[in-house]
Amino acid sequence: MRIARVVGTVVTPVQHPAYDGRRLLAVRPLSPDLSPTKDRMFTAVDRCQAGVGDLVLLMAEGSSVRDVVGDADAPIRTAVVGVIDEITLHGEVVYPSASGTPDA
Amino acid sequence: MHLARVIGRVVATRRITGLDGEKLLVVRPVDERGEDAGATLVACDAADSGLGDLVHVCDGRESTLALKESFVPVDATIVGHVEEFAVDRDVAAGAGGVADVLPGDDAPQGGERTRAGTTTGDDALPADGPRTGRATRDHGTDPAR
Repeated sequence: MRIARVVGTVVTPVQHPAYDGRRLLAVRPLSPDLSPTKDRMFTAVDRCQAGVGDLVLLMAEGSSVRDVVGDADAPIRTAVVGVIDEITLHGEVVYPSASGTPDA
Repeated sequence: MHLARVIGRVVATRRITGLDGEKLLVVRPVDERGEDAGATLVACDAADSGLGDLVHVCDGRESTLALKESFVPVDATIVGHVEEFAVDRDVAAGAGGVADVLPGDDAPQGGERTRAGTTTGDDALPADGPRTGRATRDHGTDPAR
């Protein structure tokens, strides 16, 4: 699983039926200390009512994701499986930041 | 899974059994601004896409699950046609996406959420407007679909 920031939303009216009723989010992966990575933006199905700006837990492994969405035949590869409240690295809280502003 | 722009098509008459009848399109992944990001690839089409469309692409093993035959050598399939793609510019910049090139001055004050892309973006993404049809593929007899 990876840590990512939700940067946007995607609407696809014409889509594979497995996506019907599911929210699609645009996310960008971050490293655990929340610094940017070289990975490009990609999309994920929302399972946690995540919103734009949220720091989320991303599952990017196909079969587990199909398990999470409850459809073994769904062409879905990536899902948001958690909204992150706190991250501690080496005993230090890196999220939310000490200043109290999550996005600082 | 990612967003991409359809930039071409591939015709291959002689192909492996199981890929019969699958439309092959050349797509190029896009970033938060809808601009090119990454190498082009060939994807099967399960969403009736056309040249210039902004599409949703599923990659990896799961991409074959959108096709009639699910055990075929395919690693990318178009599974949706994007009508609207809304990005929070501030959040995207903070996540390292397009920080240095995102226009900031024309955005509403106070860090309000702005839309970039199909609906209000200057360089509008798809130009052919919303589609009303649905993907017209036979996905078997699963009653849940």
